[in-house]
Amino acid sequence: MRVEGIRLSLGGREVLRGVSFEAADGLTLILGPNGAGKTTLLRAMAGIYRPDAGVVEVEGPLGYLPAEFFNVDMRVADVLLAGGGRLEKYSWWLNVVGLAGYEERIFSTLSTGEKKLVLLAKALAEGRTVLLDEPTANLDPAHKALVMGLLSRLKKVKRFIAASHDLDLIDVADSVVLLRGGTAVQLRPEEVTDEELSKTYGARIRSFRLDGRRVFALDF
Amino acid sequence: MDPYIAGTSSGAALGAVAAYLAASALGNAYLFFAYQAALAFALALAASALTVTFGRGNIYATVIAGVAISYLFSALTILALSYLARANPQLPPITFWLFGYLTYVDYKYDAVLAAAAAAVVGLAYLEARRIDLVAISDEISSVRGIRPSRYRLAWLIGISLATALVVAKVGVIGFVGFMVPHIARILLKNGSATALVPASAALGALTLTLSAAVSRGALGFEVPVTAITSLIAVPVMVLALSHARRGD
Ligand SMILES: Nc1ncnc2c1ncn2[C@@H]1O[C@H](COP(=O)(O)OP(=O)(O)OP(=O)(O)O)[C@@H](O)[C@H]1O
Ligand SMILES: [Mg+2]
Repeated sequence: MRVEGIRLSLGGREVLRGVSFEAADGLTLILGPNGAGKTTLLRAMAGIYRPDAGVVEVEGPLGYLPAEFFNVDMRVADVLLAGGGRLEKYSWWLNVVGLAGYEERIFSTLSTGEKKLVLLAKALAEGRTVLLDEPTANLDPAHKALVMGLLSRLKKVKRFIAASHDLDLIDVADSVVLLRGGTAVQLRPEEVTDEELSKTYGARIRSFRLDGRRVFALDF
Repeated sequence: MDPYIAGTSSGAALGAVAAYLAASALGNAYLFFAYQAALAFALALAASALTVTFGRGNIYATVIAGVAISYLFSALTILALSYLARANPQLPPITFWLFGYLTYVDYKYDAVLAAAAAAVVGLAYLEARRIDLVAISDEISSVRGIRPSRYRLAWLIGISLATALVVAKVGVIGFVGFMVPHIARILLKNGSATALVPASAALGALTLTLSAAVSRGALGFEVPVTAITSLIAVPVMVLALSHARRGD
């Protein structure tokens, strides 16, 4: 799977100015400041936007966890079945994300994190390649650990492309794409130094090693 | 979206009246039968398209645009009918077009209306899971092979066509399309199209039949159907709003 030199303008502004990266097997993490174009890039890969130039090569079937969605007052089962499919398959994935027995609950009454997990279950059930927009936002530490564990195990059988501000995901990633100024730099996770991150976000970021994990500190 | 609130039915009414205008200008009384539904469809579509364009994704803007568009088309309908009324006293009265009368329906046209209604309801039921998906997320729709903007446009055209067929024959009947799905939603506690489509069809038929019975004699004199459906609609709107505020 790859993206080659895509350019894309929205509302008269060129958001992506020749973005290229390769999404091999495993998890590709897209990092970049607010408004950098991460969601735009995922939408272009999903076929919502047609780029002004460049190519997008995707290998389906695709799943998509959107960062924003409509707060529909349907049962969770109807949300999972939307677009068609079998409930047993979706219920299995609902179990996997820790929401066993949620089928009859009304989607709009769930908490922000629960809604995210329902849509994550849907995306995992539907895609061999799964595009994830902010997969860990709004999750408590336990659910975040659950999702990170899930992604690191499932990335052997599925391909993930995740956009996030969660720097902890660097430890789960096989490749990191830094989006800045409308262009992309692709690095291996160990090449994502504190300097690269500080430059990407325009803030001073330092990290430390603790039990083999990278821990981040932000100066303000 | 109720075709009454979206301005669709007012557009259809103007189209139907425009067909009379054209027929009378050309002195050909038979012409309008052929073109009435087509003109009603064209203007219904124009009204829906204008509403959606001005509303551009924002629900409040869409409702306000719909009200404005429906007043605009109603005003044009009144102008056209006032002009026509003197020359053609046999025409249905202005109140027919603006507020709806079921009295003028004949059996030949009934079959067409029944077929159109069955087609729309049947298609909506078959498409319910896809309608749900488009209601949830453009992104998920797109990866599942649905182009959400095209899909919404296709439904806009289909519903404008059905509305045009109805309005050309019975005038503008308001609020049924708005209040019935709301009642169904509250009763079922489920906004999925799989539940709402059959429930709304059944409840809509019941509501309109009862409203028609009341409008045609229960008060001792005949009133337009919209007066009755609107009278029922207000308490339902209040209920729906307080329901929405409670957020359950
Ligand atoms: N439909 C649109 N019309 C005009 N501008 C848009 C549109 N969608 C996005 N943009 C602009 O494109 C830029 C990139 O937006 P995008 O949502 O891709 O950013 P992001 O990297 O996902 O940010 P965040 O981290 O805040 O989610 C932003 O400046 C945004 O204002
Ligand atoms: Mg985003």
